[in-house]
Amino acid sequence: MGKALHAELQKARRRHDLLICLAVPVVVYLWAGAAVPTGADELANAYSALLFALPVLNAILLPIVMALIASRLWDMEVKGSTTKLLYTLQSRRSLFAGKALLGTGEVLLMVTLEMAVSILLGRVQGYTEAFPAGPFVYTGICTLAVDVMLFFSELLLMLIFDNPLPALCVGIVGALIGLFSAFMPPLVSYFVPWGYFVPLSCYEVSYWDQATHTVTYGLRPYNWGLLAFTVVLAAVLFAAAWRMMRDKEV
Amino acid sequence: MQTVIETKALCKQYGPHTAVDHVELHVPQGCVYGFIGPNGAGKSTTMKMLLGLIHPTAGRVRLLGQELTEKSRLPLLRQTGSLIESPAGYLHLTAQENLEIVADLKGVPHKDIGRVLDIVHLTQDRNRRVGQYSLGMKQRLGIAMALLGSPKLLILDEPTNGLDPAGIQEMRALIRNMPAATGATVLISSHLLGEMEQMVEQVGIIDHGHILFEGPLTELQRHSRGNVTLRLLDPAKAAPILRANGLTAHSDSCVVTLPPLQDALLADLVQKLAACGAGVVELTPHTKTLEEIFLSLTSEEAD
Repeated sequence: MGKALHAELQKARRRHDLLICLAVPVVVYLWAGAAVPTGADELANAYSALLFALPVLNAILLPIVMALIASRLWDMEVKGSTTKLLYTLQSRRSLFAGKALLGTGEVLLMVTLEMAVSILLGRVQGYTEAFPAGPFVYTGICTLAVDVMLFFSELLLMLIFDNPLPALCVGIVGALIGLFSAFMPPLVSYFVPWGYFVPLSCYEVSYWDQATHTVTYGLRPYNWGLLAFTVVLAAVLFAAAWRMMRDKEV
Repeated sequence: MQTVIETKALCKQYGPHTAVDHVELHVPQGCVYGFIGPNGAGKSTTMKMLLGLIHPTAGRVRLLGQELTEKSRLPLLRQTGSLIESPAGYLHLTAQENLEIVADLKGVPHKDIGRVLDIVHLTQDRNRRVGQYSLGMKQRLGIAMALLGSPKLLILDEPTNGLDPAGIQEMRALIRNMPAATGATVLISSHLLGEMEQMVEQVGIIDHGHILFEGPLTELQRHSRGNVTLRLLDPAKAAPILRANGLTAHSDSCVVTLPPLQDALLADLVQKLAACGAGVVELTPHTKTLEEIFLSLTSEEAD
């Protein structure tokens, strides 16, 4: 396992995956930084506003980013015609484990940085709302689960087609449908896995003052059922991707 | 002599199509073995089965004296270098970095990289990205990867494919010298008999998944000897000499076509033709094409 991960890290040289992982937190920082909360009311509700908006931003960005990360992991093997060589040097299980570990590691790094940026924004912009540790951790876990599920779905597509285009197209279309589903009844959004960030969110608009254009966000119950389904879906896609690699003729 | 590769009734079936049909290969240690056959004959499929890349429908493979099984596969392949179909290499990495990945996966120290780069003449270009390499350089890098760790066996599938004449020449010299330089046994496939003749000592010929011939190259050359054409200044003077030697020649103006002849007989004939004033201007010995050899081998088999 260690050898396989080491090999994947060696292959990652000059592939600039870290830049992709950094892109999402940077976008979050720039977007949230551009909408600095002003006034005591907004600052007192700022973490809630951020954690309400973050899933929407994730639904736009992350299906595409996951397609990028997954397709790049396998595309270099296709372009370099390396699979036949690799299968004489390591088992298919070890190759898959290396890719799954590196991919999941990159996703984890990205989510960690994204959540860290949220804390940083709170400090820099002087949020007065008490830091909502529980919802914050829940949002991080939900983002990670959906990301991993999307990552393995895109890796599966890449393994099926040996071409990054289908994975990227599905990522882009998935982002659009996912965002669209956020504005549909909750039942509809359950059928659109790319947009699961939104139904998994634990914040909702509890009051909107039309006259002052002030929005007050409130907590809603954690959606454990959908989170568990997301984890199961991620496991199913992981198994399907592994079967695909195991049975693929070279 | 010890056998490095041995297959017993090796078969591969893809639906109704039999790609490899009861193939029996015997590759002796320390030789360059040419595995020859036209495109689609089953060469690559056989080689992939030797490396455990695809599972045989039936039959057995023994590599380096051991049965190839799921358990023994990777330990055996660590003593084997291979280049199957197209050369492998991460295009965004340099040759050195590519070789480091392979060396680490093989468990070979990095100091061996310099040695293999020297053998394939890529030392000067070790720090260039593989994406900037020509096909010939990529093929040589593929060979370098195969050579890492001084394997006892090299399996090379059409390594001269797509190379320019200079590259082919260089690759031939490299492979021909491999047993002496590295002690490795080489199994190399090609669809060109002429190319193989310059590199190999033993040959196996495969067509439609069947082995048609296996043995020393010299024995195959007996089958590959074709007609001889002579261009003469005066064919009429040549006719009695040819008749006297029991030869039936097909004459077309100044060109006379003779059946395949032993070298000594041919030399004697040319001397006689020259002496009688027939004027031998040109002598062209023809080598049978692979297809013609197949026909000759299969007709012999049928007889």
